[in-house]
Amino acid sequence: MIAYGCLGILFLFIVIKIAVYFHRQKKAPTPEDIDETLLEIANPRGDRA
Amino acid sequence: MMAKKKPLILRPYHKTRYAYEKLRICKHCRFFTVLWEDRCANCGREALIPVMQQARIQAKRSMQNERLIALLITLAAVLFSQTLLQIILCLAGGILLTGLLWWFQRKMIEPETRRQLERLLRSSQRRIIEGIYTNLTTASAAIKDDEQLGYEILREMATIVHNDRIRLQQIMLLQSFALRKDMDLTLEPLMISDFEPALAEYIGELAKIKRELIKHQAIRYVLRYEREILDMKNGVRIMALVAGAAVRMKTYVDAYPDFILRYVRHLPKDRFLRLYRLVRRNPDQTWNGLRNEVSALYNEKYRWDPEFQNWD
Repeated sequence: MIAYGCLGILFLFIVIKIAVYFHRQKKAPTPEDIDETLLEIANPRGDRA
Repeated sequence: MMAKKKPLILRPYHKTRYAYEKLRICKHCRFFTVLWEDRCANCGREALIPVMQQARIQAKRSMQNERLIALLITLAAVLFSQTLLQIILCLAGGILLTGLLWWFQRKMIEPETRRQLERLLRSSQRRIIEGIYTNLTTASAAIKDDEQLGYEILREMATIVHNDRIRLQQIMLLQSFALRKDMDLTLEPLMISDFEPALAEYIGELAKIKRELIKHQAIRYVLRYEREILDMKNGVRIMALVAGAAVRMKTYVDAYPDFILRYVRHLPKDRFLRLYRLVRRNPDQTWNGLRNEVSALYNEKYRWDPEFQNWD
């Protein structure tokens, strides 16, 4: 029975991981967002022109 | 005496779609750089890779760990199995589920890489700024020894660092070079808001050798600082060169007829011919008196010029 329990845990683990990936995919930054983040870091306020 | 301008061949500038594609990280010491050096300036190792590659490595490593956990749970299930049927079922089920996870992870690698890159940048703010400062120090040292290298370094840095100081340094260096049409030159990224004689000179130079770079932004700049430019030694020449570059497209003549009118008499023959053809092709446009002035100048200077007879 423990073996099936482990298999159940594995199933849950995979389902949760897939759900997390789906969620993250929706919120993943676009290349433009990443560019903006980098430019914000490299050009702190007051230094930017 | 005017300093002699240096002839040179600039290293080709590799343009990237996104600024972060220029940023590299040392796999060993996590030092960031915008430059193209082979060895890390911090630890001296040949371990510099693009940040995107580093993010992909991190994303793959995290996915690999998840697959490992799935396989360990499968192993536990097999170990706790009491019959052969259970072993077969647990093994098959575990492999199937891990396979499903792996297939899904492969589909998600791109968004995961972007997420990891965003995390990497946000968690490395201090190190990115330190890397930029190190690059700036390299640029300052290079400018003293080799102006061309100094310019090339600043040009790379300007992709990520946007400030007037770097723009101005680039303009100053460009002004010491003998510019040619085949050079990979830019104007809009170098535009600064305040008046700078070196920028006005550079715009004039581009208006002569690379007219296609003279667009609205450059024309508006010379118009905003027209008085200051005219106070310069060759100010009228700069204004006339820009006006000459502007007549290459009807859009600019439509937008700045008064400006072109003010300098029409200073235009070289080829630019005036261009304007003359434009005026002839658009009989309905008066362009605030520009048409009359072009006609008057044509009658005064170019009426008998054969080049002006075949205007089509």
